[in-house]
Amino acid sequence: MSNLIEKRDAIVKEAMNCRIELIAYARSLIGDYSTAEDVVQQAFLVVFDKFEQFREGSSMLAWCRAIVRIEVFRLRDVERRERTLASRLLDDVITSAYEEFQTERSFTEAESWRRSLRYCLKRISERGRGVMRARFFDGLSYQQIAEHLGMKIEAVRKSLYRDKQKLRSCVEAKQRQGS
Amino acid sequence: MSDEDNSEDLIDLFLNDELDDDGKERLASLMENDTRIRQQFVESLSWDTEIWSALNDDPTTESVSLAQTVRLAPSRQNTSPSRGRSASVMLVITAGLFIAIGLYQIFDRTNNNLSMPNDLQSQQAPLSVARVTGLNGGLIWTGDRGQIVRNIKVGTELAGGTIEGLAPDSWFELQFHDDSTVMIAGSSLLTFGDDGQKILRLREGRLSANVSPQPPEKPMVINTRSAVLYVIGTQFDLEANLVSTDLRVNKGAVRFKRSSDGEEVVVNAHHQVTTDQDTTLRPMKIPNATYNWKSQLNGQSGNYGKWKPSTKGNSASLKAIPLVPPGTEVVLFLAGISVSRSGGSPVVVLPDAKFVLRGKLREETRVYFGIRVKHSNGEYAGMFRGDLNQLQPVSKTDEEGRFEAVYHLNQFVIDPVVLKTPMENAPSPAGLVLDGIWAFTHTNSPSGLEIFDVELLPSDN
Repeated sequence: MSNLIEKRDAIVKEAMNCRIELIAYARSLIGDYSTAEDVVQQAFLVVFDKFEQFREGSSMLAWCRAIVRIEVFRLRDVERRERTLASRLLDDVITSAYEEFQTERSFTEAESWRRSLRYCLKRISERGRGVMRARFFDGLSYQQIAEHLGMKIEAVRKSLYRDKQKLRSCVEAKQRQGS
Repeated sequence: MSDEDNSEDLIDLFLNDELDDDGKERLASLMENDTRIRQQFVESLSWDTEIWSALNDDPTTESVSLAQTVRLAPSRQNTSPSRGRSASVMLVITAGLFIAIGLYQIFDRTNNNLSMPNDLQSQQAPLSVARVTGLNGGLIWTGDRGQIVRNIKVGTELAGGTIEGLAPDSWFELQFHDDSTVMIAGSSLLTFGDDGQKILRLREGRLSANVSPQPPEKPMVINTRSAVLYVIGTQFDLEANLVSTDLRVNKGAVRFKRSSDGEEVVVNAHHQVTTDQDTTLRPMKIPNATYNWKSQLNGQSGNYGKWKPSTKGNSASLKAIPLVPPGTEVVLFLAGISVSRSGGSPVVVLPDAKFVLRGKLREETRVYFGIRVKHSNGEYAGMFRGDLNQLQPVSKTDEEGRFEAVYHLNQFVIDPVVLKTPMENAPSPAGLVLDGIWAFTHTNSPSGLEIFDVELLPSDN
């Protein structure tokens, strides 16, 4: 019995290490972070419930992604969201893309990378961070951000693009230093 | 503007929830056809999510909406603030399993019909657009609301969705409400929908269709990775893979558009065309039948198994992989080959023909062999086994494990798995067009079966 509990704990813990990756996938299918986060939360409960179905040696991320996918479908079903053929096609190809390119990272590797990101975020200008907060934290559209921050839509777009590039270079440089 | 620049804009619009259906189709098509764009999409979403997470973790982050007392974006209006939820999620991570157990207890899931990828239950399709009229082998249907159905039966009404053939012996016939039929065979993936206009997407595999007259302003549209077909009413075969789309029209006419350059051509009855030509699209008359065929293993899609390229001393081969036939707990090790028309000609099986299978085994065992055939108009004709009428002897191997097995056509009998289907099976494969072959072992463990080649010889002499 205790072996079973240990196994369950280990599997759930491993699944939780994939949380950000799973939210990224759910966000691709569902359209906003807030709901994506709820879906992933729900998926963790399924992992907890069905941990015995996980096959040792197989990819935890892939298994969890399949569960997230089902939870997304379930949510759409509950909300009776109609999907056009184009949306369904895009969902399929998005799922294939994640299967192909989303890879698992070790906890240590991911944490080191995220520390670098937090460090680099602080080096973005206050205005740039404001745009990022509005976009990612509040989930506002470009137009809404422009209205709220008194900017032109194109300026919002450029600011986000430029600052994301800066962040990327900064994180990569920091990671190189670390290694 | 290059595809990559274009894709960047499309991904940006998609993330901003500003992409209309045309844009989604365009993005889906770009992603399907270009590895770099698929990678770009995943990286872009991953970056955004990491930034979102880092901002959530940052205690100094203050909502623009809170700071300015402005309304949140519509998608967030009915949800609790992200910070609160994020904090609880982070607690879940830091407290790990304790919280998970707590959540588990809070949410009574005993009556919750949760299903898992391997454990999915059938559900009723919400709005039927077509009915299943024939099927065999492993198939999965994913409906437009995400319901996944594995135990599809003849007569099941389906809403739009995606049907996937999982094995070489899989085939599936669907009849729309106007009596138009489409059939997929082997490892194929087809998405279909009908909201007044039938729109299909054959991602890969083979499709035969018999289309009733469609309204001229709303033709049936079939998309593949490399072509778009507009069908008013006709009968044709279509084969699509990563690099090309081949169309053969048996009756009527089909408008065929090559996606790469937008070139269009009308393909009339008894003509064929392929996107795999560098020059102008030119429909050619379908040549007469051929009676010889030899497999060409080059990693082509549509085959079932693991392709192994040739190495020093070893021929290229297709290695058998596990297959669990639906409704059984039997594990077969199976390799299947889709029979492309030889130089565009249909491959016809003559009454005194024989199949020669060459391959490799880890240990001597029986190698079972089956074929699928169709009528010259592309309609399903039956599946036959070459090892049932007379028990196939154990295949003897040489010191390197190589073997050769011969299956005579006069020994082929109808495959028992198709007897229970309502589809009409021809009494014999003789005179019919070869569509696919497969070989398998049943040894309860990997047999190491690899196929080097399969040959159809017209005469038994």
